[in-house]
Amino acid sequence: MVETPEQALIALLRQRGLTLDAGRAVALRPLAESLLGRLARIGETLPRDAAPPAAGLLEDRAR
Amino acid sequence: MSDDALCFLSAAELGRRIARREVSPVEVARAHLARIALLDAKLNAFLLVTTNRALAEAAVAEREIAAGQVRGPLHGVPMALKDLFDTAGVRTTAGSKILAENVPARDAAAVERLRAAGLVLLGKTNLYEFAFGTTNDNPHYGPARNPWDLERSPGGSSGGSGAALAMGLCAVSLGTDTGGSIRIPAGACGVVGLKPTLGRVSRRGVTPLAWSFDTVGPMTRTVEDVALMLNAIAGPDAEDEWCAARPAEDFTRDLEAGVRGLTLGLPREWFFEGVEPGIEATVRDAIGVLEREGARRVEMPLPGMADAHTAHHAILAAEAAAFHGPWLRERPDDYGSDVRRGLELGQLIPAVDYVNARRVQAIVRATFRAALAEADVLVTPCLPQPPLRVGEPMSREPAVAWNRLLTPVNMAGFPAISLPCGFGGAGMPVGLQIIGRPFEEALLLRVARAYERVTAWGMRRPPV
Repeated sequence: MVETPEQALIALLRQRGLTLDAGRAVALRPLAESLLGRLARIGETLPRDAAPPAAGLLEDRAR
Repeated sequence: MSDDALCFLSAAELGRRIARREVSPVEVARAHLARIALLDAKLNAFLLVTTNRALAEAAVAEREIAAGQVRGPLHGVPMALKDLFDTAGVRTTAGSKILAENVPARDAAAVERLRAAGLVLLGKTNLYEFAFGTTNDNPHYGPARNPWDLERSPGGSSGGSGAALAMGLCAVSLGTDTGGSIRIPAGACGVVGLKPTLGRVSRRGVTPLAWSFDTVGPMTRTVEDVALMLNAIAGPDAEDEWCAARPAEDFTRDLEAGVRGLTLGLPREWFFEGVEPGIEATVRDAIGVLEREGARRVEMPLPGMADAHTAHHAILAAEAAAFHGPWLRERPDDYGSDVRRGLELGQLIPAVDYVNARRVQAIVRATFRAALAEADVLVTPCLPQPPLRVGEPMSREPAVAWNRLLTPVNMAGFPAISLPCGFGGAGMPVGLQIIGRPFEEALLLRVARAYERVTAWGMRRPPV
């Protein structure tokens, strides 16, 4: 049996201890697809040498 | 002076009159409490009004001042606090059902400092549930409304603070800005809101939304009042690891220095795209005012802002989901549907995408740093569209999100201010956003004051 995208969302969140009903899954799906799709594209285009910000805050580099 | 006029004085002017004993803190508190009683039913700006406590605190201030013990320029001035700040012995809900009965034992660090400066607490203001939204449509306590048009939102998440200031229900307020939550209501309500540099103000005792971005800042009706509030709350806090060690300074020092010789950077991309024509025209007029005051304008590239907005959303949602995880598992039905959905979305973000979003953050920081090497400040609109109607759904999509001109600044961690610069096509206030280098809030305030000094937008009063 083929799992629908909504069923996949319900299963994913169940693994994290959360209950998602079918109606909420329908509302969540387009938001998740949009954000995760954009993040996937960003992941493909990030420069190889881009690292996360250094530990610590802005202070050391403020001047 | 009438009570109404008293309630629209700046905090600085109120403080001066109180210190000179021309008006008493009790009289000022009573005037504000009466105005709240008369008008807040229309706005729903307050979740809690601490009447007896306010009068008691005002009486203490009055005695101290009478004895010559003036604590500072805001002694006896009435404040309202976003209900995200812990207040000892006073209910602090974070706009949620989950914390509906929460009564903290201790004040948040910023609140401690404001109390030490002698301010009087009038009450706690409405906000989006757990500050996780750009309007003030709160499902548990009802929407706050915009004094300029009661059918519209005051913005959020610090919407009650924006509405209360615009309506003269408090002299100053304190908000938080994780993705625009100070600047949005400031822009939407025609008041002044500063998001300081990340780490400038302690966040101890503030319910977190996203640790990477959460910033405490003042909301007021004038630029001078922002400076005075920042004087009171900024500075190191050993109890908050995110708080910078940089010592406090006098943010009023350059207020009247003007903008002659300063360079204003106008981003070519993103910040003027998709902006309602009336808002864009108003902001360009404001930039013209600053040029006539002696500033120079340069247009400059500022690429990558759509990705900045997306990465901001990912980091915010993932961090919020981490903080709320236990409640979301145990009490999911106690969340409003929008916040619950946002937290569920955060649970779905893979670790790799979170790390990639952090990598984008470093790029955004470098982009802003490069731009601010060429210009002293960047100047943009605050909000791309007029305030949403109450109940109108908000979007987090980069092309249309109401906070899309603000989130890149949270990604950078740099300071930014919104101040009123006119009225747009819908007849609603328009905010001018000024962005500065890390820890250069004094320069931001100088530019903002230079604009404020020759305009009178902040003096307009809403029709309610």
